Amino acid sequence: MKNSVVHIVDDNSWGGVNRLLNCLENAPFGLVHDNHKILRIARGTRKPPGIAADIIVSHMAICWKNIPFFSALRSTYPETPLVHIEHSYSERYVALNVTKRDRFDDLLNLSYALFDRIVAVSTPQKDWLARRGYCQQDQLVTIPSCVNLTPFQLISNRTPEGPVTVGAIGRFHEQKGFDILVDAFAKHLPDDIQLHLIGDGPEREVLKQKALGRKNIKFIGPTSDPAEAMADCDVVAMPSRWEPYGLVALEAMTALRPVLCANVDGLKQHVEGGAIAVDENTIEGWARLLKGLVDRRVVNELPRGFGTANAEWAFIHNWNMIVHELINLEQSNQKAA
Amino acid sequence: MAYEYPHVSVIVPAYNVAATIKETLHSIINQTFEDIEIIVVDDGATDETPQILKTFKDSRMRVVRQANRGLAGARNTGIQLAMGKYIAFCDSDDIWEPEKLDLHVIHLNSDSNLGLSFCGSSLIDDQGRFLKSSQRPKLKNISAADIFKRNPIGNGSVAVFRRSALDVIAYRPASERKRDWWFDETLRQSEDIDAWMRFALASDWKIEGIPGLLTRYRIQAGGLSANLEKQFETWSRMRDKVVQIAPRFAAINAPAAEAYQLRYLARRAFMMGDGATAAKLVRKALRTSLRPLREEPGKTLATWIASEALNMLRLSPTLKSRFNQKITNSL
Repeated sequence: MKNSVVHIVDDNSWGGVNRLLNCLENAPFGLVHDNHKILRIARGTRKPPGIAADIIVSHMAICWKNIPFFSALRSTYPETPLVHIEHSYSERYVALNVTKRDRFDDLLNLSYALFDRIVAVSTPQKDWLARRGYCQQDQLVTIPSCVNLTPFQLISNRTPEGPVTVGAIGRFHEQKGFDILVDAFAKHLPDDIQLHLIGDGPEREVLKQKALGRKNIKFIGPTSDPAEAMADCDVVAMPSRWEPYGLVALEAMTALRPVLCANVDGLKQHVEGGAIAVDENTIEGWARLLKGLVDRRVVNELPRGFGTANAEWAFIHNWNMIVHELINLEQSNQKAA
Repeated sequence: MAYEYPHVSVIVPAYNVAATIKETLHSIINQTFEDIEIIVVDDGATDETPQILKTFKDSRMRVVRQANRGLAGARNTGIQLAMGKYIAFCDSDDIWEPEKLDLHVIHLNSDSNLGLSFCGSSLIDDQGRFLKSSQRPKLKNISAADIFKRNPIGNGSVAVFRRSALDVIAYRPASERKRDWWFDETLRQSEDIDAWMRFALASDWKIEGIPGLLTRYRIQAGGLSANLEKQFETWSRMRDKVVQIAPRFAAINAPAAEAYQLRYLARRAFMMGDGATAAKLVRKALRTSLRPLREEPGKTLATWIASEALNMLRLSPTLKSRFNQKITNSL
């Protein structure tokens, strides 16, 4: 029998989670064992809606404002296994954003205790959560995030013409560190290597100001088709300041684009998977690295990752496993009772 | 029997320190906590340092010699070789109180989230005599902002790291083929605060001090106030790195941190008896940010008034130095 798994998402994370679950929906018939559905709720909701599910999965951010919702969820569905996916937090996030550490520890300890499983989206994130002891060892599972990778598999190789193009894809936000890249291009790099900034966000004007008058920096704007945007790039750069997982790296490697990235948080896992780490995530560090790539022949020789053919299958398998395990656990608990 | 790793690795960078290294090493060898290895990195010394090192016969101590790479480069070589669970640093002109390591080990053992343990320092002169002032920093709830502004981990001989935590700041510059860097070898000053800042901004390991002045930090007499400007330059390079690592954090804290640094340098200039430079630096500090005045009014005002007074004094050198002595002690 198929179990029904309901994924709770608020407006904030709806787009991203939608892509995530697309990966399950698009899988070939029979591969995904259960019914996964998204339930979208308004931000700031305190009372959970009626949910008919065998398992409830939260993709919402852990914050004090959401605590009433989480505790209501737990008390409304005491028997239903609850899973939380940690999309937001990582060690570097905390280092750069959290000033009241004790309060933050309380928040995570308190919230995680309401769930049966906490899903880390990368191994470095899992190691961090385990080290800090925010949840029990057997409560913690790692499921690297994934999206439907087919569009990226279909991108053709770059035609070797024109200047080398470096793509930076994502939200224009301090997190992504695009300001470092723009400064490196504006101050240190010649016009025969180009930067394409693909996306939008609060830092747009700051970035535009930095890029003023520079011919080697191009703003592509947000796109509904990230694969298409990536098709015009030779390499993909990720100078993130923090990154629980870093989906763009997975997409880029699928498209056989070399990934250059900061060696932080979840990106460390991609470095193990063949991404190239910048030695220092600074303007000078990126300038040094990118100066070597002006010559297209060098770019052609860069490693393209060790393959992502497995990623979607692994994601599906991981979900089948966690659902299976939790349902079994619940049934044996009921028998015991 | 299998080789057992020492509990603590003590790293001692040594460059032309014939006058002080003996006393430093004795203070480490005589620690009440004995499960240690001592790694002395002879950083291409050109004085009698190597001969002096040969006279030490403690089996826990080894000496590695390298071509000169500077303080950061010597420490990095030491870290690379270290086997201990904890790593302690001691510069080769400073002295540890006998129970220092014991207390840090207890501290680090007591809290698995603690990555860096430090302490306060008494100050000594060339002859090892205690000066009246000391470093008594804030010990608890140390944030990146605290380090940026007031650097509680005030010298290179107070920090004891958990090894796994220290490795958070390891990186390998493209120019480096042999080993990682923990301290930035392109900095010839401010390499300490640069490392502590990167540590605080890259990890959520707790940083905490223990009470007591467990290190004697030597203030070398002499020194030129011209060097203070150079020191400010390297400090500014460190600040620029912080801006890139954490722009929002820097926007909030950099002006105050700069003012505190200028105030600190003013005090150094003052101790050198250079009233003109001291006054210049204090004024610059106050122009940069008024936060030191608000957060530490007493110390800031005292530095200001004393610097201006010294600047205005046109007395004979003896009177001037006597005035200096008095006011230094009272600061």
